[in-house]
Amino acid sequence: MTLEQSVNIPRSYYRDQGALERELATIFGEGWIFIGHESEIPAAGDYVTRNMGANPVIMSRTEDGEIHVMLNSCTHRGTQVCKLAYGNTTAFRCGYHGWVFGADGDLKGVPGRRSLYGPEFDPSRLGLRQARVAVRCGLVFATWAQDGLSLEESLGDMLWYLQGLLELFSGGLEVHGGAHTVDVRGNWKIHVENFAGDGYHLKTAHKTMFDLGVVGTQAGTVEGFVVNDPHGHSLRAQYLADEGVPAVAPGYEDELLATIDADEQHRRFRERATVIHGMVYPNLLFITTAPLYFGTDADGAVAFTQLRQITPLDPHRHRVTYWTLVPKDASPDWKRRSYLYSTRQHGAASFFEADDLENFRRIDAGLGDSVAGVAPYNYELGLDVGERSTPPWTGPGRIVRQDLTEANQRNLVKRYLEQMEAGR
Amino acid sequence: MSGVSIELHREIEQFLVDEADLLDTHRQAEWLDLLHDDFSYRVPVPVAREEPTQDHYDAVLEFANESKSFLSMRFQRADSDFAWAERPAAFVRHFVSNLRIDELDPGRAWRVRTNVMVVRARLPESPVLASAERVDRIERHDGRLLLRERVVRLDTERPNDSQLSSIF
Repeated sequence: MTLEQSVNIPRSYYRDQGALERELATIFGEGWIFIGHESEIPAAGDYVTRNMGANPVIMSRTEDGEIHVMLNSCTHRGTQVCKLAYGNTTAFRCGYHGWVFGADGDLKGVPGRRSLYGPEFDPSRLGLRQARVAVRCGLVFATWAQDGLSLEESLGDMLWYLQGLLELFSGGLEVHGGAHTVDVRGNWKIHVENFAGDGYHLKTAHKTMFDLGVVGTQAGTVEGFVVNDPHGHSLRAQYLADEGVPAVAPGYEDELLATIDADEQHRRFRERATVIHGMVYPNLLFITTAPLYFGTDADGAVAFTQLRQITPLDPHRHRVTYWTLVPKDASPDWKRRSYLYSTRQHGAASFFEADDLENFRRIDAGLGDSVAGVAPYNYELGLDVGERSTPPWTGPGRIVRQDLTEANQRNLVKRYLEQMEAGR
Repeated sequence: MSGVSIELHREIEQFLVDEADLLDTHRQAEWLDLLHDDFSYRVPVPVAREEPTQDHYDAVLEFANESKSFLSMRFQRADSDFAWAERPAAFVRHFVSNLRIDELDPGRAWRVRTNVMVVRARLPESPVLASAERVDRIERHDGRLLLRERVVRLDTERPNDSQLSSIF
């Protein structure tokens, strides 16, 4: 039994512009931020536009196959040089004075350069501001910190779990269709914390889903575990405890299961799992699950894997970018159904999501002010109640043998406060 | 005027007005009764394109893709006291206009386009307006008009969650 203390995060951090500014400067300004999946930009010249904290960025692929993430802002007057969500181009032309940048961000052309600019004018120092980029498991991350932790160091123990999620099948995963974004109410941290390991809200917030028989846990007894890592990352995994259930990752076609290329512990991490969800600090969320029933037209368990990136817009609103990942080697029909389930269960307009978004906006509406709204939120769930069953896999990180615990949220808040207080 | 008789034009218009009334007054069971068993409801994700003439809607990505059985489930849920996002119920108002009808199968099937404005209000959020084009397929079965398909073409690239909460 570890001696663990609860944590206190000031409520003002959910409503103050000043707190948000500090988050942007430290947590978003110094850390590795998820930008997108490499399959979104397969060809030279492909690009997508994204948010990296408060910064608009372009993620592009150059002729030599390199991925760049750069500030979507002309180095002349700061105008956005790319206005579309995605596309393919050889150059980004600013619509104000016509400066032209390559897919690598280099300044390639300036109207009137020879006649209107002097000999000291140096285009080589006027490329788009570049972020440092690294890719793991197909996930593209970027950071403004030119030195500091490598992505691998920063992912810490979570890397093993990302491999289990994203590299189970030999062909890997790809984004189905692309990404889309929705703006929602509530401080960004509420959404992140929900994914970090909140198994406790399911039976209340999503009660109707259980009543309707939609959720995988309907198939029998389940056991859940949470995992966290000192960098703030966390994961929650839940398994069917019945030995009679086939030892496979549920919801995939047999042909695809035959392509699994993973070591024994990674396989065990996925076998009989009803849901695995979590977050890569600070703002990448993931979930993989296999709903059992979704209306008579789409019967049978079909797994889906969804990623989300959370971006604060102001203290009271955040932007959610959604991706659905599918195994590259799955059949087209399976991919279509997986996307359908992802939309119906966890899409922005789905009723699972409606329950969560309702809670996020009610938290925001209940924040109060600096006089009455000061009691910190409670994070004591699972403290001193002892651990329970044994997980089916052995892996890195701090594995907590409890499902209904706020161990991950405590870990997340601890990491968050370390950064927020270091920045003071 | 579309290439259909004034009587048919009026009949379809009245069908759509009555249908919107059922949605606005939360009479979901009666609304479901207007749907063909193979009804599909889709909200494709809008995408801005460089070329103004290119299609503005993604071919794969969808905010919603629902069937009659799935919508029945959704309404069954809304009847429960635990549908947190539905209780208390939102104020909803549909404004339906600019009716355009193309006959697909004489006397039996029509492509019906309308412009809709949906107002939704539910505290703690301010009232939200959502504007869209609806592209419906309406069919006549045993004398009755039924909604066979509805595609909602939203007029914004990045809606908020309240705009997505209504049935258009």
